[in-house]
Amino acid sequence: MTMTILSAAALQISTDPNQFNNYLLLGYAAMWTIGMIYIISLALRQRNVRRDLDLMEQILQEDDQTER
Amino acid sequence: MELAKLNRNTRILNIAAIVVLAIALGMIFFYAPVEQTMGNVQRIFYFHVGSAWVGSLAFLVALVSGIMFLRKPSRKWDTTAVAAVEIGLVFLSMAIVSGSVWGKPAWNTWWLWSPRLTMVTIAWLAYAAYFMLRGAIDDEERRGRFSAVYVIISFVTIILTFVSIRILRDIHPVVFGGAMESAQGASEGLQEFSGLDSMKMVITLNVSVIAFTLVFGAWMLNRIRLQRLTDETQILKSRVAAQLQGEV
Amino acid sequence: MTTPPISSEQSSFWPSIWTIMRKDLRIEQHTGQTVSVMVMFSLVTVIMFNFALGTNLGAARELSTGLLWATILLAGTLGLNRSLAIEQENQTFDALLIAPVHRNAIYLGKVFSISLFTLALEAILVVVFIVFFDKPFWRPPVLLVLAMGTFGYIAAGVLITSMSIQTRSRDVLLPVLLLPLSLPLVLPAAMAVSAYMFPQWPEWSEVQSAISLVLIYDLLMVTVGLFTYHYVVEA
Repeated sequence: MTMTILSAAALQISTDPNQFNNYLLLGYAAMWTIGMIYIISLALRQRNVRRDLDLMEQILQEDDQTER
Repeated sequence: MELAKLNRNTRILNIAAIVVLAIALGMIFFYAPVEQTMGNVQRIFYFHVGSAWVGSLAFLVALVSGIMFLRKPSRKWDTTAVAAVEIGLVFLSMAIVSGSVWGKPAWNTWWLWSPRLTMVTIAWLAYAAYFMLRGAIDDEERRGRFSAVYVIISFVTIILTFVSIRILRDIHPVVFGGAMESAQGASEGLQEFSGLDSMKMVITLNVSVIAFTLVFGAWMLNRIRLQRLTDETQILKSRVAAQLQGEV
Repeated sequence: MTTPPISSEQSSFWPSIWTIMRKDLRIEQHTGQTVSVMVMFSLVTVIMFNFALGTNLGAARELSTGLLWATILLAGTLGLNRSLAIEQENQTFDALLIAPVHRNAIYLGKVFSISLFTLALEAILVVVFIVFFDKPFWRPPVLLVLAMGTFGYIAAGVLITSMSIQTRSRDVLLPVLLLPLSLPLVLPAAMAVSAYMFPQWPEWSEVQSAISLVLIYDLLMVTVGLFTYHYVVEA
C-alpha cells in the first residue's frame, strides 16, 4: 500500500501544483462551515437567553410595581 | 469571575482570535512554500493539524474540569466541562472532515478504517454520547457528578488514540509533539525539503496552532458566559413561576 | 459528601471482594438468570449474522473474529445490566453501601463476578465458533486475549452501568455510552485474535503491539474505575 502511494507521489513530482486546488477549497470551506455553524449556534442561543432574561426581568418588575 | 470581567475578557479574546486567525491564513496561503508532491492542497495540513491538536487540548481541559468537580463540586467546573466537550467536538469534527478531504487526493479515498482514523471516530462518538448522558439525568448534582466521571473515562480514548498511532503501523503520518517533528511528519514520505522551506512550514504550523488555541479560548469564554446567562434566567423563571402560583 | 473509609474496611478489602463474588455466584447458581440470557442472546445473534451473510461461507469465516467480539460486547451489556439491576431492584445495593465495605471492594467484586459470567459465555461461544466457522479459536493465546479483553471491558462496563441504571433512560443508554468506549479495546483485541486464525502461528513481534494495547486498556480502565467508582455510587 505504501509503495503504491510513494510511487504515485513520485510520478506526480513533475505535475501541476494546482491540480488538487478544488480539494483545498473544499477542505477550507468545510472547516469554515463547521466553525460558522457553531458560532451561529452560540449567537442564536445567546440571543434567545437574552430575550428570556429581559422578559423575566420585565415581568418581575411589573409585579413589583403592581404590588406597590 | 464576575460577569463584567467575563464580558471584557471575552471581547478581548474574540478580537485576538480573529486577528491571529487572519495572520495564520495569510501565512498559509502566501508565506508557506508549495509542497512539491501534492501541490497546494497540502495547505489543508495547517488547519487540519491545528484543529486536531486544539481538539485534544479541549478534551484535556474537560478532563481537568471533571477531576476538579469531583474534588469540590461547583457549577463553575461543570460548565467548563460542558463547554470544553462541546467545543472539542467541533474541533474534532473539523479535523476529521479536513483530513477526509485531504485524504482523497493523497490516498485516493475519502475514508479508510486505519487505526488512527478509527480511534478518532471512536473518540468523537464517546464525547457525543456525553450529551446523551446529561440529557438523561434531571438532578443537577448527579448530572454534574456523572458527567465528570464520564469525561474522565472518555479521555482514555484520547490517550489510546495517541498510543495506538505510535504502536500500530498506519497510513496516516505520525505527528509527534513538537512542531518541528510535525513538519517532518508532513514531508516524510512526500519529499525532501531544503532547510529553509521546512522552517517556513514549521513557523506557519505554529502560528496556526496558536490561532486555533485563541479561537478555543474565545469560544470557551463565550460558551461559559452563555451558560451563566442561562442559569441566571432559570433562576428568574422559577421566581416568576413561584410568584404566578402565589397569585393564583 | 463522601464518608472516608473506616480503618476496618482496609483490612477486609480482599475478603470483601471475595465475599461479593461468592454472593453473585451463588445468586447465579440458584437463579441462573444472567448467563443463560447472555448465551441465548449470543446464539441468536450468531445465527442471525449467518443468515445475513447468506451462503457466503467464505465471508462469514473472514468476519468470524469481529463477529465473536461484537457478540461478546453486546451480550456483555446484557450481563452488566442484569447483574447490576438485580441489586438495585432488590435494594441489596443500598444494604451493601451501608455496610462497612470499601467502595473499591464492591467495584472489584462486581468486575470479577460479571467477568466470570462473561467468560462462561465465551467458553460456550468459542466452541460454537469453532464448529460454525472452523477456525482455531481454541489456541491458548486466543483464549488469553479473550480473557484480558473481557476483564478490561467489564471494568469499564461496571462503572458505566452503575451510572446508566441511575438515569431516566436506564438500559437504553448503556450501549450508547459503553460501546464507543469499548472499541479502543476491541480493535487491537480483534487484530490479535485474527493473527492466530491462520495455520501458521504468528511471530510475537506481529502481535506484540496489539496485545500491549489490550493490556494498556485494562490498566487504564481499572485505574479510572478504582478512582471514580465511589463518586458514582454515593447516595
